[in-house]
Amino acid sequence: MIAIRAMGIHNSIPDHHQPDLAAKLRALSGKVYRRTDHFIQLAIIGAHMAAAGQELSPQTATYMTSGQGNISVFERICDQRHVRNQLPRPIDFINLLSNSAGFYVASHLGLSGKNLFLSHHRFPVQMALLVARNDLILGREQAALIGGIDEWIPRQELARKILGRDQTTVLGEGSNWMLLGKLDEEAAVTLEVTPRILDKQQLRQQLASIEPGASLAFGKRFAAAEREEIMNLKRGWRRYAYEGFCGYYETLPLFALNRFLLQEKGKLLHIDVSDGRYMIMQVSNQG
Amino acid sequence: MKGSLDTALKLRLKTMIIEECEKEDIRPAEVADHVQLFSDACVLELDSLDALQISVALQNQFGVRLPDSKAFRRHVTTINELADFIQPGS
Repeated sequence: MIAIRAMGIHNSIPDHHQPDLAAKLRALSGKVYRRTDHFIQLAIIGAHMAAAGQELSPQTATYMTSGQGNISVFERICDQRHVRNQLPRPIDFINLLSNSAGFYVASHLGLSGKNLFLSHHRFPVQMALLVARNDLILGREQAALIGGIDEWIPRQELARKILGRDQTTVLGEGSNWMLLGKLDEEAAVTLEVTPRILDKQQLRQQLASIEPGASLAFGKRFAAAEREEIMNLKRGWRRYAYEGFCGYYETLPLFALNRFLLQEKGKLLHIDVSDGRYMIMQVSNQG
Repeated sequence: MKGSLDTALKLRLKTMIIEECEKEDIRPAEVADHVQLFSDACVLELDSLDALQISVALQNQFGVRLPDSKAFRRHVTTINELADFIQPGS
């Protein structure tokens, strides 16, 4: 178990156009970030919100993850190369490298510690949190800033195809961050990630120990019937329904956890599913 | 007509440089035609990454290929000289 020191949420459901984040970033930080694209601006905004008011050690490690990565620039470069037969803009090429956003976040917050971009096909948030958790528990890091970033692109049919969602799915974008630290006696907000991908039977075994009164949140990939089936396993569980406040994106679990922690007290169990496999995260807010 | 005499071409070049280098707080009229673009005297305050952006934009928008930094330094000096390079005139 580790401590959550702060959270930052940026979440929206754009309509027709990518929101202009350059102005928001300028208003938040008072700085102009030249050569940044939408994905990088999202990353800086979320990290800025999580770090606001915190005394960050320069050695704070940064872990970023994303379901799709910098998809709008990737799409633009593909269009330039293969449709228009043009060279990509050099800055697009540079920003598409795996961790350009990490560079800008570190630069914005004055961090010089470990800086990783982590990717996972099914559970990007859970896996990134596991890496951060292990580094903190093993004493490799004293503090960790972890962010999940996914951007909305105007070509919705392409985005849905990449995400494996049906054409009715409403897509959103977000940059959700947590500042994590080692567990100590003062920690009022805590996080635990079950370090295994579970099958259905293992999931039920894990859920058996969850006491009544706990809240349960489900990943957006869950079918309604399976969600109900789980809720009916034990009386007294409360369903935490965050789904109406966001569109679909892969790093939504961080939004669900952060939203709960900022608005509610108690314990939340987040269950996510992909291809019949499950992962569980648990947060507790006693503050 | 020589490029340096073509006001429309020079405006297009200045606008391209401002957009490619994300210097939108500067208006094209503020960029003097005769000032060295990569010097302290120029309001744009360009750097080496800007040079790369401009080089690729020149190729994509004007079909002008600057194969190496030597060629870039020779032709992308001032707006007037860049315009003459693109449009030598008769």
